[in-house]
Amino acid sequence: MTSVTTGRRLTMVWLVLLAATCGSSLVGAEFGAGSRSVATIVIAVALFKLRLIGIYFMELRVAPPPLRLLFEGYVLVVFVTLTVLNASVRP
Amino acid sequence: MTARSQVTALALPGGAGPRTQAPRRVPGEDGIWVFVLGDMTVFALFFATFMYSRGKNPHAFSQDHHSLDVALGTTNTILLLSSSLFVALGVTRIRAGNHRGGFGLCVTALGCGVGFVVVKTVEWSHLFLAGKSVGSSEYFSYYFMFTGIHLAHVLVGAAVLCRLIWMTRQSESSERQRTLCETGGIFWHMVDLLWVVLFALFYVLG
Amino acid sequence: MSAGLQKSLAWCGVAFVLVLFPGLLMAGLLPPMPPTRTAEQVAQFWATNTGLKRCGLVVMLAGSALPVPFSTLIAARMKQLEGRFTPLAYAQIIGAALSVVAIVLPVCAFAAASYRPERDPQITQALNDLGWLPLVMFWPPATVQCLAIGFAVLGYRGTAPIWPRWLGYYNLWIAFIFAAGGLAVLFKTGVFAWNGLLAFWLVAAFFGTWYVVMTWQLLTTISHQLIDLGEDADGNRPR
Repeated sequence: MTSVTTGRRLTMVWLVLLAATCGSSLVGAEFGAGSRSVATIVIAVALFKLRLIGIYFMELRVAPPPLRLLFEGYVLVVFVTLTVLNASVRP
Repeated sequence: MTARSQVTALALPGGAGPRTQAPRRVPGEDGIWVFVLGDMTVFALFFATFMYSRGKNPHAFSQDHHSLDVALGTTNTILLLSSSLFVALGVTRIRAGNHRGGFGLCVTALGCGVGFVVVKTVEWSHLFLAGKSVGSSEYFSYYFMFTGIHLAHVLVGAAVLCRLIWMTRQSESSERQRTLCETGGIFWHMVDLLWVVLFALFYVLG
Repeated sequence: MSAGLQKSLAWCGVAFVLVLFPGLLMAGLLPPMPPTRTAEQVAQFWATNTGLKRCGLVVMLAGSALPVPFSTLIAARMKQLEGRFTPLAYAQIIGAALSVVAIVLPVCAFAAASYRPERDPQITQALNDLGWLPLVMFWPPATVQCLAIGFAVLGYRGTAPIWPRWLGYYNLWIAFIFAAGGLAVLFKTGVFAWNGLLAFWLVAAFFGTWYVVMTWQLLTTISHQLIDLGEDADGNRPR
């Protein structure tokens, strides 16, 4: 695995993260409160970004399965918890 | 996960086709993961309590949200994401023995981190001048406490980056030092990762 | 020093938690009362089950010195890590000593609050506040204690580490957590108030588990300490 390939990969992840960030900002500006499904998407995108940072920047992609599973488990649990809490918003 | 992440995984180099299997190893030092996963769990508790309170009081939260400057928040997210990229690239250089390259990248990353602190200071000043403080409402209690605790992490991270930079100034580094650099990098990525969720909860959610 | 005595010192950590917890329950401090209670309600609280509550406070006070022997064994272990020049071990001792105050001061305030149920409720509420706020806000000494341990473990450059490095990272993390209660005076409701999920419950849970983890790590390293000193289990050096 050359340094160049790693560098390219990291840069691409960064571009995806930037796109997701700017996309989120625009979405947030467009939709006010009240849209529960939009909020779910926002949470999903945030956890997706978190996961990318962990897998690529923190290099969990080369980590042994237990550590990797712990991290993935965290992402899943947080996503589910926040989505459930969001769903119980009183309109 | 989501369809989007599957597409992205395929599109990235090494995502599909023949892949040289790198030996599995724990990134950084083993022990840092106690800290990182532990801190991530505590912050997950922060996120959950915020969402719970938001559920009970959506209109007040929405109203307070509109006092936040989304442009500044987005700028901060971009700064932190970029600094993470520079740190990740820098650590790659350091591991390969390229101290000059690592130095440049880590200094740039530190610059982004300082930028984050500056933007945050500006943001908070605006809010204070508008009469918002930690006690003004439930939303702002959460906002100032959570972004404040995060800011403390950024400052610690900056100190860690300084240590990394200092190390790259030396002509040679031992295996142990290179592992410590990687460990320091992981701390910085954690700071970035936590902010990404805070950004979504405060600046994006209406 | 014999292995038996060292084990006793180590167990003081767990003993502290085991004494403090029932004491808190007896005194009615667990779960914590909300800061929003009126003076009359606070006075009412301290005027009911007075005997049991006072006994709980006495129990808490009795256990409050247990961190002393515990932290001295930690300091001895840290001296092994630091070598001849051991400022961190001293910082840990001072941090531990002040953390004792973090229990003693509030308990005395609560004792005063419960002492004369017939007095003006405003005064009782003031004493109650003087108990709760430092109990939750007194984080710097505990943070210093944990930071000292963390830096000592992670700063060890030798080839025979007595403690695993993860324990250093663990202590650094815990040091951060203790600070969560630090702004309790700014809040009367919510997660950062003295009865809040984050300022009280999170900190209390990690405070308790820290003593258990450190006791465990002290116990597992007693034999290493003896080998290091060239002593057998009774503290005798072979001729």
